[in-house]
Amino acid sequence: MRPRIGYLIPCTIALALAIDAGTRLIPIDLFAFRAWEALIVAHAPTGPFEPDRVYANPLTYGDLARAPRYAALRQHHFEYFSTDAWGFRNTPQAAAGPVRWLLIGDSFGVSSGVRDADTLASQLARWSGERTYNASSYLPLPVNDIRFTSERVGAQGGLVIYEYMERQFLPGAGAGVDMRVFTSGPPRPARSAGERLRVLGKEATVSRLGILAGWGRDAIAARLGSPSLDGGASQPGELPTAGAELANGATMLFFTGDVEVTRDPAREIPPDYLIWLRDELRKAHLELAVLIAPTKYQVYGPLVRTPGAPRPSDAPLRRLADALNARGVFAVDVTDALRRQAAADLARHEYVYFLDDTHWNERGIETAARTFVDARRRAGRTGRHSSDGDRRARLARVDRASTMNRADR
Amino acid sequence: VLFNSFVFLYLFLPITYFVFWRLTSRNARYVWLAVTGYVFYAFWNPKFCLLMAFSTLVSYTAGLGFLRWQDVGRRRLCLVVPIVVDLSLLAFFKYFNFALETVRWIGGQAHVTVPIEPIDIVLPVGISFYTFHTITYIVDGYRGVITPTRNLFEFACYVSLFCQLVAGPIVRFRQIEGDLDRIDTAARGAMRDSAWSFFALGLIKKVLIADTIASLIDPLLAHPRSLPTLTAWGCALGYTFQLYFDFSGYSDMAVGLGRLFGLRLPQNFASPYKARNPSDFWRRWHISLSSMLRDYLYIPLGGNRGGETRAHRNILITMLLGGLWHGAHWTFVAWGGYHAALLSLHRLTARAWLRVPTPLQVAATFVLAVVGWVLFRAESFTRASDWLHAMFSWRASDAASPALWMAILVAAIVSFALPNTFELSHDWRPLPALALTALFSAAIFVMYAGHQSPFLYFQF
Repeated sequence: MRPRIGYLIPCTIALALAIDAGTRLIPIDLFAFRAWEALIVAHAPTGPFEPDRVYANPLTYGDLARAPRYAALRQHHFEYFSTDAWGFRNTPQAAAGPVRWLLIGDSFGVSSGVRDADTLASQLARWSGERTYNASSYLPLPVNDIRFTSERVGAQGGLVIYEYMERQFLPGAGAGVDMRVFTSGPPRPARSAGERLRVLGKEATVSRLGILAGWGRDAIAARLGSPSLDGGASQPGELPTAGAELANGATMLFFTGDVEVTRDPAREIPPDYLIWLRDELRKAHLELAVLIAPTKYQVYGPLVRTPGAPRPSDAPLRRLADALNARGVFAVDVTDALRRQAAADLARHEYVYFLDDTHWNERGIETAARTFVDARRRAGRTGRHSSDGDRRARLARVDRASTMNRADR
Repeated sequence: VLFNSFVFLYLFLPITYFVFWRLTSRNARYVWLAVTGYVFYAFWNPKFCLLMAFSTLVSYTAGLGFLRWQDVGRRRLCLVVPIVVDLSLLAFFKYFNFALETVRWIGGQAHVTVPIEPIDIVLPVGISFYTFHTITYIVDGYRGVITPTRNLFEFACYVSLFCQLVAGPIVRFRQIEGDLDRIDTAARGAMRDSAWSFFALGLIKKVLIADTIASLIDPLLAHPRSLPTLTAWGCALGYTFQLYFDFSGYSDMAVGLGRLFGLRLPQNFASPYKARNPSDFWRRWHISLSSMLRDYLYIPLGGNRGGETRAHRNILITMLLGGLWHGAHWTFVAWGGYHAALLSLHRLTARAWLRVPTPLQVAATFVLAVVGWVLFRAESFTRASDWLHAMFSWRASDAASPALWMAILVAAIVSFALPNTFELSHDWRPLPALALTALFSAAIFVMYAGHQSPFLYFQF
């Protein structure tokens, strides 16, 4: 029979629809290069990620190297990412509560790209001996979510650590006072039919065929010779990326937004919101501390030897820390510590941020956590379990939990 | 919802199509097409459906007035009132801020402060098109060219027909009146091949050619001042073909969709870059608009009657308003003025022009059109000036883009060497049919890769 265009075209549309619909049932993990993308699609109403999930990927790599033209710069490593029943990144041990420290932050607080035992919350716990609940999300939670979460995990009277990353926008005092990002729960049992259907439905909204087509497009674009380290020419959904050569000869990728944000020494980061938040949390008998995290370019900019690369300025971060401390908000800027560690490690080709990612790695997280805990200790604000014996006992428990977590893998 | 979106392809179109052919009565089909037109429109902003419904009712009522009254006074009232209403809506939504900014600028030059601030107005998508649909209906009704319909469903179907609703072609009622009358007896399979062929060719033109060129030139045009000469020409040529394949692709899809429902929409493009002179260009480019400007503006102004000076004046007024129709910006007016100058110049030199060899006529007309598109594309006169300066002052190229020149070459071959979609028989042999299907599949693949973009003419 002669093929007629009047049938071929609608059949093509129907076939594309069938393939698209069919492939949406394939597990999304197969299409994600790291946990973040895989777990936010079906995030719980109560938290930022899919609840009660473990994502393990032995070949994850950085967000900046997602485009095929940066494939040669990918640093493959292992990522193990667990979420609790509420959808926050916590191991079952950390979520078991009660806790004394509550970490709220963004993807740096979530600690994208590292294993559960190496997250900022895990390392704060390890270095302080305080059980720390990781309530980090896409952005730090507003005050009502913090209050609710602190009650939920039994952290009343404890410490809220606000991880502020240099690129974050800080709103004015009173922002989000009437807001709740997540619902109060209780969380649905992960194995219930309703929850499974919800997750399936949410994940089905992502077209796997679209992802495959995007890969194909990227591969073609890479073959057509798109410039590789020009800081531009990004495809939809891809971070604008620039590559630079470090003093040890290694190529490091940077998010161009990070380069931009660190250029202006006169940039003002208003402390008003954090001061207001401190006052609000005090009403709930919670103490606020701020951990100021620099962008990758803030740390590695001074070590870049690419001609014409702009020098980053940490003056805005220092001013923020000073302003907060002057107003009685305990704040630690970990920029200096990270810069020192980065410079010391450079000759050994060790780093505190992933070469191919916007985020810090376990070494950088450890440096930040240790710097923060040391500063707390020097200020005599180590928390309830401040005696050495107590701390040793808690450290041992946390380490056991981390070991169990590693054994799980 | 866009024709090149999955919501349209997988949901809207199949439902509209299958329900339409399940219905048998004429009114049921009118109602269904009108309802789907409003649903299609509501994807952008449901509130503006009321505006379209209001415009429809006003024009329908005027049509009833023409049927009822024969005296000149009342007929003129039925002509003027709805046109004033329609144009007022268009003027407010599309040109209010433009006029205000112009007045403020003039005031600023004269050191006079105009104490009115621009207001936040959302431009209803497609208002320029459906306003012209209703105006042509009213004028044709007044002139007695058509017999206005008494059937509100038929008229609502004509105005809100989804395939021509937001970016044309500007279909006159008389052009589809016959098909609308026979809508209940249309045979489902009669135009199936040509319908899907038009649709596939349109999608291929839009997704594979226009969008590919756009992705290559848009980053370059962010800084036209720094463009090397060849790249500046590459961008101008690229935009020339992007606009053509984008809009003619949309028009082809609209024609194909109309045929799926038994409605034959008119041709909107007839290989415009094969034109031999500016007049010929406007007989081939956006035909539904240019013929409308001719019939409803140029000729009523006096056309060629009344001597050469009046003819040039009429050309200038028509083209300036035609430019303004495309957008509330002085660059569009300047583009209209540029084409008015070309048309007048051709009018003055028509005999000498005929002695020029045909390939040179085509090449010169093409280059003149290319230069005009710079004004059309640039966001401001400064950018247009930078771009033109880059084109006409030599600066060596350091990074020629082979992909852009390859895309331009393909587009040029299709534009100059192949027949346009209305010249094809659409009775494809097996091998070409399979090749067309393969290209259509590639377009779907590109759509999946996230390259869906709005059609350029939606903004007008």
